[in-house]
Amino acid sequence: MIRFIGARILYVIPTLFAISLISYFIIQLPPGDFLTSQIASLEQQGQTLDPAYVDALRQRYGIGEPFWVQYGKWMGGILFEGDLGQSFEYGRPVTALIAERLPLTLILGVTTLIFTWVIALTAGVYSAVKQRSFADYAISTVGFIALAIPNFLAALLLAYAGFTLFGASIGGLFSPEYANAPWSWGKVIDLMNHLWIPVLVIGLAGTAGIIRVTRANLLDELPKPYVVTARAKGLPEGKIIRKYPLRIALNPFISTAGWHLPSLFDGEVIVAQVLALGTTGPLLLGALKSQDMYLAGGIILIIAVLTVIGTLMSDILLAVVDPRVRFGKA
Amino acid sequence: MTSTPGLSRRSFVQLGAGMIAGVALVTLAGCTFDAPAGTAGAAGTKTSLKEAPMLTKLVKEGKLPELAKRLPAKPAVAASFGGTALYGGTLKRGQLDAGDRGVMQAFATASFVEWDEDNRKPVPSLAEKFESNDDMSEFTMTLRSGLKWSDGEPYTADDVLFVMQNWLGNKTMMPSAPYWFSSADKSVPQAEKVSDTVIKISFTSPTPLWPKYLSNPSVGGQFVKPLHYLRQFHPDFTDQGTVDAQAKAAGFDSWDKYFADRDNTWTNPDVPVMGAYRVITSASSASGTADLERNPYYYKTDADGRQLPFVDRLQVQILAQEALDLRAANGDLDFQAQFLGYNTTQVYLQNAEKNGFHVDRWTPAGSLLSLCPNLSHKDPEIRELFSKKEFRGALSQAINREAINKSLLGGLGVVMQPVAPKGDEYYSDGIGKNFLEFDADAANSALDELGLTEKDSNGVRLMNSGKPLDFVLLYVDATTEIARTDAYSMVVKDLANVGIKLTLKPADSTLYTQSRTTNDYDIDGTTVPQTKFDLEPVWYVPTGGNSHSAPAFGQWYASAGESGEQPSADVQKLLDSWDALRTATSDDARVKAGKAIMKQHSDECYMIGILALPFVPVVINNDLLNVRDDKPELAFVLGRERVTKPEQLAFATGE
Repeated sequence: MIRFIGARILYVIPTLFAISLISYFIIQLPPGDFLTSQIASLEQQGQTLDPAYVDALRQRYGIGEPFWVQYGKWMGGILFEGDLGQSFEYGRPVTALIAERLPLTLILGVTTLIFTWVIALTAGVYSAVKQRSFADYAISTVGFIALAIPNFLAALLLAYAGFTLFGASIGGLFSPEYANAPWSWGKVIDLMNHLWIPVLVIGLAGTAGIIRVTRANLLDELPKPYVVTARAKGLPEGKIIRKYPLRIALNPFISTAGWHLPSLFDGEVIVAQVLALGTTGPLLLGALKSQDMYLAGGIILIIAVLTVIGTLMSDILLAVVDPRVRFGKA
Repeated sequence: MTSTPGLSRRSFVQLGAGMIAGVALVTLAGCTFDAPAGTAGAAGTKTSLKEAPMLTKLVKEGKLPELAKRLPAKPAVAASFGGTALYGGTLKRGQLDAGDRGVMQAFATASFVEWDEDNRKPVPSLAEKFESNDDMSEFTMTLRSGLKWSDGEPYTADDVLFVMQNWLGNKTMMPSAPYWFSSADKSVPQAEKVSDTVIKISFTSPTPLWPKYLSNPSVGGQFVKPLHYLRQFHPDFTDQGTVDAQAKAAGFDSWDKYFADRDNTWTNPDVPVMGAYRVITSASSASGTADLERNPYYYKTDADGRQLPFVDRLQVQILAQEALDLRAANGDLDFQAQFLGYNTTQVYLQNAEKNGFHVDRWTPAGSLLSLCPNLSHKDPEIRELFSKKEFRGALSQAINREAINKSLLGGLGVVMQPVAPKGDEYYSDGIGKNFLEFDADAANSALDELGLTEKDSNGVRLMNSGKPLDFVLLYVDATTEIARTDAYSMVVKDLANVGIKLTLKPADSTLYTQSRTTNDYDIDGTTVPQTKFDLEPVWYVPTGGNSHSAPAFGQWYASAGESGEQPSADVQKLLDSWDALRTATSDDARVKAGKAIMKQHSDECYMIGILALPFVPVVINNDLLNVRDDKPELAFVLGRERVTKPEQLAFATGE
C-alpha cells in the first residue's frame, strides 16, 4: 500500500511541472501583453493612452522579458517564498485576491457537490432498480436535458424567471443591502435565497453523468449469480443492493470523486460570471481576458495542483475500498 | 434608496399597493408618493437643514467639528438642476469591471477647475481663482482657504506641489511627462509656491489647453493627492529603506507600485479625498460591491449654503452585462447611463412604469460608427490609393447609409461624417457634408477616373500592379450600440457594387490594438468621438502610434522623427495645425487652428462616417431629483454622469 501511494506521489511531480510550464506558455500565447490589453480596455472606456508613456511602463515592469526569464522568476517566487506574484489589474498580491474569494467559492462548491451526489446517486440506483419504468425514463430525460442545456443559458433563464416572477434582484450572492454587511442571520438567509440558482444549475448539469454510470454499473451487477444467491437466501431486497452490487457499482464513481476537488475551487467559471458571483471563477476569466499573467497563472496552477491531488486521492480511495485495485488485479 | 435589511423598497411598494390599510399605510404612502402635498410641513423644516442628519449626529457626539469649521471660508456653489432637497439615501449603481474608476470620476471628482453648466469652459472649483498670463504659458492658481481633506487635515499649496514635483516630476513613476502636463518640448512645467494658497505653474511654451485638460475629471482628479497621507510611501519624504520594506511587506515588488496602490481612491479606503464621496469598501473585495460614503468636509454647498452632497451613500455592484440590464429593468439601479445598452432600451421602457423609474434620452458622444483607411499603409501602392481624396470619397459615396439606418435602427440613427458637430467650438458652417449622399454611379465613375478600370473574374477592380482591391476591415465586435458586424456587412455589399472587396475581421480588443499600433491593418472600423476633439486629438490628428488613421505617421510625430515614418504632406498639414492649436497664445488663434483641422477633415474625408445613435438611454429612479433634463452629452471627457453634477442629486424621500 505504501509503495502504491509512494509511486503515485512520484508521478505527481513531473506532471505538475509540465502543467505549470504549459499553462504559463498558453497564457502568453495571445498577441500583446497586459499593457496592450490595458490600453485596449481604456480605449473602450473612451480614454486614450500616450503610447510613448506605455513603452516606458513596459520597460519598467519587465513585461518584454523572454519567456524563460519570466517563468523562472514566477516559479522561483512560488517555490521559495510561496508568492504567486502580483496581479497587474488589481495591483494586489494574487494570494490575497484568491483568499478573499475562497470562502464563498467553497460554500458554493461544497453545496453543489452534495446536492449533485445526493440527487444523482439516489436517482441512479432507483432507475437501475426500476429499469424501464416511467420513473427511470423521467429521471434520464431530466438528467439529459440538464446536461444538454448550456449552464450559462440555464442560469440566465432562471435569473430571468426570478426577475419576472418574484422581482428578485439578479446577480451576486447577496442582495445589495447585505453585500458588505457583517454576517448575521438575515445575511445567511439572504445567501440561501441567492445560492439556489447556481446550485440548481451547476448541480443538475452534473447529475446526468453520475446517474448514467451508476445505473449502467448496477444493471451489470444485478443479474449476477451472487445477487441471485443472496436473494435465494432470503435477504431483504434493500439490504442486498446496498451491501453487494452497489459497492461494486460505486467504483467508477469513487475513481472520479477526486476530480471534483478543482471544481470546488474554480466554482464553474461561466455560470459564476453570468450571475456575478464573488467566486474565483470570474476572477480567472477576467485575468485571462486582460492577460493578467500572474493572476491567471496562479489560479490555473492551483486548479492543476488540485486536479492532480484529486486524482491521487481517488486512486488511494479506490485502493482502500477495492482490494483488487490494491493488488493490481483490476 | 435606502432599504432596511429584510424589507426592500419593492416590498414596501407591494405593501402600499393595497394589502394593509391603516395609519401605517397612510404615513407610508404620504411620504413615498404624495410628496408635494403630504410632506410640505415636514419637508419645510428638513430642507432648511444645512448639513446631513448623519453628520449632525456625529457633531453632537463630538466626533466631528461643526459645519462652519469643516467648510472652506468661501465654499464652492454647485450648479443646481432642481429645487430644494432632503438629505439622505443610498444611490445604487452597477458596473462591469471591478477596476473601472468611472464612478469616482462621475460622482467624486475634485479638481482645481471643472466644466461650467454648458460644458464649454472651465470654471474654478477647488481653486477660487485660476488665471493665466497673456500668452497662456503661466498659470496662477489661488486655492480656497480652509479646504480640508476627508480626514479633516488642511488642503494647501504643499499638496499641489507634492503632485507636480514628487509625483509628476518623479522619473520612476512618470518615465515620460504625460501630454496633459508637459510643455511643447515635453518637459515638466515648473511649479512654485507663492503662499499657502497660491501656486504658480510655468510652462516653457503657451499651453492654452491646460485648463481644459484639468476640467476632464479623469485628468483633473489626478492632481489632487494628500501629501500628509502619501508621504509615508514616498522616498522623497521617508527613508528609502523603510519605503521599500513597506512595499515588500504588502506584497509589492517596488515602492512605486505600492505608492500607486495607496494612492488609488477607488480601491484604497484609507486614502483621504477631496471629492464628494470616499470609498468605504472596495469593489475588488469578494462581495463585488463597493460602498461609498459622503465626505463630511466636502467643499461645495448649494445656493442656500447647504453642504453637499445630499445623498448619503453610493453602492456600486460589479455585474455581467445581462445581469446589469435586468437590474436596470427591475428598478434596482437608481441612476445609470454608462454601461446601459442602446439595444436594451425597449426592455427598460417596458418595465419602467411598473418598477418606479423612467428612461431619459441623453446625447451620445462618440457613437458614430466609421471606417478609417490606413493613410500610412505598409504597402506603398495601397498607401498611394488611400491618400487620394477621390478614392476615399468614392468609398464614402458607395455606402447606402439610409438603408443601414432603416434596417438596424429603424431609421432613427443619425447619418453624418466625423467632424465637430454644430455647437462645438471647432464647428464651422458647411462642414461634414462631403460625400455623404449615396451615389453609386458617382463612386463608380470616380474609381474609373482613378484608372481602376480593369476587373477580375469576380468583378473586383484591379490596381495597376494587377492586385485586386481587396481590403480587410479590422474592428472589435460590439452589440450594445450599433451592431457592428451587421452594419459593416451591409457596407461590404455596397462596396462590392462598385467593385471593391471588403473582408470583415472582428478581432479581440487586444489583437485589434496590437495590429493598429504596429501599423498592420488596411481599414479600421471604430466609433469616433466628435466634440471637444482637442482633449483627445489622436482621433483627428495622428499625434501618436495609437492613431486610427495613420499610426506610422503618429509614431513619427510622437518620437520627434526617431521611429515611425515621415508623414505625407497632407497629414503634416494636420500636424502643423495641431501644433498651432496647442501653442496658441489666444483663444481666437486656438479656435482658428481647430477649425482648420475640422475643415481639412471635412474636405478630404479621411474618415468615413456611417451612422450614429440617436440617443443613449439613462435609467433614473422616479424618487431621484435634480437630474438635468436637457439631454446633456454623455462623454468621457465630461466625466459621463458628472454632467448633471451628482453632488446635488437627492431622493424625494430623503432618508
